[in-house]
Amino acid sequence: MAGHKIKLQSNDGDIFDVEVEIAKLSITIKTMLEDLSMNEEEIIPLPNINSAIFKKVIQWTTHHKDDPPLPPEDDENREKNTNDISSWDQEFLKVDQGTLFELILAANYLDIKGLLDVTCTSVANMIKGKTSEEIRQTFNIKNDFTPQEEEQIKKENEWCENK
Amino acid sequence: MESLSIQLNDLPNEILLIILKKLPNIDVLYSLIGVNKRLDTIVQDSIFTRYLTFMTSCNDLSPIAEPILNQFCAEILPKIRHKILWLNLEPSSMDRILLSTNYPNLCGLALYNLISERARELFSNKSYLIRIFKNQLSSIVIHINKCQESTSSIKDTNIFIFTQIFTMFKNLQYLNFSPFNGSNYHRLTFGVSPPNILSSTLLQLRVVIDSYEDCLYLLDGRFNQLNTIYVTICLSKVPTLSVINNKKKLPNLKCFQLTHRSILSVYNNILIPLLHRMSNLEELGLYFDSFNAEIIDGYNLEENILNHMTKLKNFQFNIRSIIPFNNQVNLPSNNAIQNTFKNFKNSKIISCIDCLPKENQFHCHIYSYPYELIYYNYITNNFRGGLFKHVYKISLVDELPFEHEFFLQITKSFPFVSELRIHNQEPQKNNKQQYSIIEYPHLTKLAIVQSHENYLEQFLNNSKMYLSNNIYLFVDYNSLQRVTDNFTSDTTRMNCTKIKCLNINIQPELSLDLIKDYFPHAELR
Repeated sequence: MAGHKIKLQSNDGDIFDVEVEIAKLSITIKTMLEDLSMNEEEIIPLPNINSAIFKKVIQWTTHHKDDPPLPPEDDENREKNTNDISSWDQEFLKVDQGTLFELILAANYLDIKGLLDVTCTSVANMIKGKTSEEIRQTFNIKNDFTPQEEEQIKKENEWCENK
Repeated sequence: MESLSIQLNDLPNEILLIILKKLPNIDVLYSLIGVNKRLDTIVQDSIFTRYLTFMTSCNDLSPIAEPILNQFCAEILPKIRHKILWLNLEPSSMDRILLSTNYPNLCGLALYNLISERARELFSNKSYLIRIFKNQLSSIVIHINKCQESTSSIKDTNIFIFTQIFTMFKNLQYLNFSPFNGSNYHRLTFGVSPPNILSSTLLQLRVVIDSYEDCLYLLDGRFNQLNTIYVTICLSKVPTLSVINNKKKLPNLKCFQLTHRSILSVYNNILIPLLHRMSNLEELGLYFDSFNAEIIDGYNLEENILNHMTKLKNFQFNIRSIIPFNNQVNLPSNNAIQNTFKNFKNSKIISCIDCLPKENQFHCHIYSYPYELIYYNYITNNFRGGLFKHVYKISLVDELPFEHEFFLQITKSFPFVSELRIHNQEPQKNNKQQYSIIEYPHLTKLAIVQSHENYLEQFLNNSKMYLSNNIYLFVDYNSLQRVTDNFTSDTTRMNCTKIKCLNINIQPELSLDLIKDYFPHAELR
């Protein structure tokens, strides 16, 4: 039997009926329901998320609703492993860059640690191994250093080395 | 036209930091330094620049790609050199990195994967390492994993390096002489005429040593500020009287961790008096098997150790008392052992007792839980269950048979086990029944020696066990021949094709062609 549902509204006006247990994977929504005593009939607005992204978020949380809680973050010296994205998540994250970054912002706003983790790992994998020029091309970033500034940095480095 | 969708550079700093922290620092710096002003500023934060590892990973220890190294030496290191506090290096790139620029704030250096001779050269008087860094390094990690000359020279080399480190690095506070506990290339022994090493700056030390004499030498007051020491003792050798007589207190010592690789036979007369010298200890770890006339239980630990350490906050242990049967009339039950820990209110303690009449031994195993060690030995049918996420190396030993449920329990309790050793001569009672297939997904080394053939069959029969590829198998030839029906059986063939290395003590009379055909991917030894 399906569980109780709540109504969540994206910033473009669409209303989504979402099972409470799935919605509560978002700590932001969980807090709204528990601390602000919002009842199940009220429509909860999500002003920072459009309907296309929210559909993706619901798709992810539905798939991961039974996942065990993530372990706490280790210290900075731990081995960093960017290869541990499950095959389902890899398929889920085959989206354009704009969607991926919006998913990151949504996961951050809704406070869904698992989704934030996997989307950020996906971007980290896109960065890994690329030269600075390749990064500019991949992520459409403009080099805003002037030639004079670059020359200055080079000189400073040489000066430091000869010091 | 500018794109309307969100781009990487539009993400707030807080999100960029989450993304970048998922990468090793050298990947962050290599890819993002100089991309634009904003990213350049973010990646030059000390989070990404203070601690750099120039290896593919600290487990792998392989060198990084040449183009990346070139970029670091030519441009990145000179730019961030003053922000670098710690470097993890491997031999092929270490000289280039250390000499490509100067590092005014470098205080920690870890050198991995060294050949003994190269390590000796690096710590000799004329070495650039000593010349440049002797006054600035406060932390050193040294990992030697090979020796070209005879193994007898390793200990001399180690003593030379150990002595040089203390002679040259006057500000040394932290020395790790054995970053990976399993290696034998770090062993130190100070012998009858030990070097005159002193340090009033050393705070933390991690070493692997031969014997208690070496341990007592290190703790005779020569490191008077030492607050933390991790010691692994390899041999059971009993110290001489003159060394034992040292009774100097160690008031600055706050953390002591002792691991024994061999049987401890001096619990009462050496270890306990040594612990009594550490009255201000706050953290204690004891990991050993003791051959003794008495069982080390909760009462024993309380009376001998805890009552003497009023400041102790954290006590972790894994202790197995091995008692000859003939010394004991009334052997305690597990409940009785568990009751001796009633005063250990803040810790979960697990106990397990085993009778091994054929070995004439009674074992009493006690440990603090959660279990932090990477190994768990002598697991019998009395195993109490639990989850042991850190353990990758186990041994299964009993005089009662291991049935299917036991192997299932083991895979649940030790989900990451990669090295497994079985010693059990009793045949299984239910080995003909159909059960679910068991999987040890991370298993890479399997040793089944002096054991009943059922256990080899249990692991080689693909309807009972799923093995991953690349297994190192150590087994008795005769058992293997019988279980595989002289290398013809189809039930064991599939798992045998997954064996990468087969150690059967090759003899000239063996039919190698048959073996090679049955183990097509295995290197034979």
